[in-house]
Amino acid sequence: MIGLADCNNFYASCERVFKPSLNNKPVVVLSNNDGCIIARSNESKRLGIKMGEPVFKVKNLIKENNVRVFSTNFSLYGDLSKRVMTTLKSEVSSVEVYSIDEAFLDFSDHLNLDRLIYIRSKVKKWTGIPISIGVAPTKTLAKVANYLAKKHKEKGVFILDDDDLIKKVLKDFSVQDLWGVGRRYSRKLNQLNIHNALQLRNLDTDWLRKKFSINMVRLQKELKGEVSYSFDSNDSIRKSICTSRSFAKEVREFNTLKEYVSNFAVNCASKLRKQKSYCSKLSLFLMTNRFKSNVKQYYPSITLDFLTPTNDNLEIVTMANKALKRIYSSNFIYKKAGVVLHNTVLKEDIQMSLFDQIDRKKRAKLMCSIDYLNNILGKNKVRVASQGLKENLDFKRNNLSPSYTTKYSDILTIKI
Amino acid sequence: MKFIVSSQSLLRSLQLISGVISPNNALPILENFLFEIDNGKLTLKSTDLDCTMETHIKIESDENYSVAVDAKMILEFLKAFPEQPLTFLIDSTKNIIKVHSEDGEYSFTYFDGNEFPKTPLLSEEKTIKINSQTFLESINQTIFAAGNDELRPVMSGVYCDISSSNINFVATDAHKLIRHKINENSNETNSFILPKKPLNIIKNIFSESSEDIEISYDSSNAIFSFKDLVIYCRLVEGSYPNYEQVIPKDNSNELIISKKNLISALKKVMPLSNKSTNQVVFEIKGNSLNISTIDSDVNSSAMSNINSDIKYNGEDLKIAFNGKFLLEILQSLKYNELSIKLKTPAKAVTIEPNNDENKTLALIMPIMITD
Repeated sequence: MIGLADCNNFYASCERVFKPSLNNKPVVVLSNNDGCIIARSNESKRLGIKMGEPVFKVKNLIKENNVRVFSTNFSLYGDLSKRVMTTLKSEVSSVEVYSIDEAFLDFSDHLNLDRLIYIRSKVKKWTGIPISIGVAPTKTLAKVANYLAKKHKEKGVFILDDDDLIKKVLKDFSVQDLWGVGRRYSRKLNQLNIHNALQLRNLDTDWLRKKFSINMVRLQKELKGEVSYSFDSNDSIRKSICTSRSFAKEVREFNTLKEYVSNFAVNCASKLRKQKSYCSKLSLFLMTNRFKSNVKQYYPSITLDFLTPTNDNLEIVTMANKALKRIYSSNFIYKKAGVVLHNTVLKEDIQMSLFDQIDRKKRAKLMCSIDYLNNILGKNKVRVASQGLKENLDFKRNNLSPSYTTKYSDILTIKI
Repeated sequence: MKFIVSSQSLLRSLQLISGVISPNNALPILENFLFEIDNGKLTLKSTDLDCTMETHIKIESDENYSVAVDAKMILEFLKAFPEQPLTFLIDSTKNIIKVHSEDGEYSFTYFDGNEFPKTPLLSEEKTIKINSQTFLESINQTIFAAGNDELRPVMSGVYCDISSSNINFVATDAHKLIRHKINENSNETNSFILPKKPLNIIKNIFSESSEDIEISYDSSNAIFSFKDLVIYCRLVEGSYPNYEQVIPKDNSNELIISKKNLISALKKVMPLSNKSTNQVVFEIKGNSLNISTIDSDVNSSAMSNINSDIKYNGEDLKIAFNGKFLLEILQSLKYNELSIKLKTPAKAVTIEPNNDENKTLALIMPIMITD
């Protein structure tokens, strides 16, 4: 059996951990640049604040109901997520971290309701984060079980193991809420008069394969309790690493764009080094503001190859800047950029180059020293010159909470 | 103005030069053939700006004129005719060409020939002559090793390094390298990089000929002349990496092995190798070679042993390669007995056929391995 542990309203819950006065009060967390609402406490949901809504549209609602608004504080959320995952790992034999607030748990050894209730209370006690756990024979059904667990406020856990129970639950479960069914597929399914998950489970598989992709067939198999997506304990390395951001103010100048791109590249390179891997390709994309319909749009992208796989800041930044030179046009104003490092390999799989002129041992030592210094002194204290001299990139974060667990100056002080 | 030409002869000539035309060109004129009529000679041209092909047909005509005709249309049109004379009438007032055949009359529009890109002219040209089969062999031996990296365009072509007594054809993608040497006397030393596209076209055209091919070149362009066909190509700009410098001279461990056995073993283990790295590990001990692969993603592994037709003179060694690169190299080499020279697991390895009089040398860079 596979379990899915999902943190309830994760970002909002993180904000509450060190500020209990926010309990039972409406809380929302905003996206990068304080643009849209990306997390809501249950109280905010009840006020009718929708997910993904631009914050300016609900300005009055926020003011009238004294909703507490926070900018995203990823250093806080990342650290609390790590604590949640570590606690889960102490309780089950294997954990597959699926996202910052979700993890699949291996319950192939033994399973009962009390064990789930215990794990849930332990995570709450050790980290302050409330979670829900759903358990079922497959990942897709575990997602459904988790959805039901969230409705059981008291227990917060649900086991979906009996086939009759599965059928009953799927009958009331809308296809658009299923894991892996996007907006486009759910519209297509609805047009074919398939509205609930049981209808999808009962469809003729050959017909489904003809009308949709193989992924839909896999999904149907999962709904029948047959495993299509096996448990992965995350020992494998990430095949690609991306850093992309929207800018607070739109950018036209090459040099400003270069600073952003260099910072994204350094961020990706540092993540590569953390998982001890090397990348063979770099992609860069730029985007103009798609919401400005009166302005000509431009979404260029480019992929370039490294002769020797690398995780070196200097090489990756140089390549990112070469990529920028190739796709930049001064005729446009850009809203977003992103760097993706892919085709990652481990050290023992590096294809060496005949014309490599870099002393890689020396450079590995340099990266190690940079990582060490930045770890002690703070992110980007030692930087590549093209990252610019600004301490923080120009992202709007007007409602940022303290980084209670990752910054010495932000540690809570208690007066006795 | 009018000219008369054999339908099949025109079709054959146009098919010969059609390989250079790419579909979906940014410039519509590049999807046309140029017809240049000049004193009883019809010159046909096609181009993609980097490469231009030209051929000639004798025709009956007294006038001079040039028109550009849609390539796809004229090829399909001519294919429908058995051998017969076709009369082309160019009506410049309406920009229309009328064609009279034995049984009908057809008309289509044309572009002004002046819109067609001009063919490059060489300045201070130099010329070499090579037997077409020798040239073809040199291209076949090297072209597969050239890269496709847009950041390093010099590696996307075949380098011709001309010295007084021989010509080296070299191609590399930085992970593998091939140097093919031919004995050819030349008055001066020179070098240029030929792009892949015209070479691939030439490979197909010259496959059944044994005559000489004349190559004229300057610093920007090369012209291949062969019978009635002329191919102009823009050379790849930039300086080629110093390939001689990376060829190791002190690889003291030598493995003499049958190419057939090595390819056979590689083909057995490769399907079970990691799909992204294609890594194969060689363990050489005494006169025995173990070739193994492992793909932990899908829990597969393979090991094949070679202990016949093998002679090893050197220290025990464990070294890994990209099996795909290695197979490409082995399949390109002509003779069965190979001499593979190695030094350490991180140094380039040379592969040479034993009876080849040093004509072909391959170089492959290993994949890093850690024990």
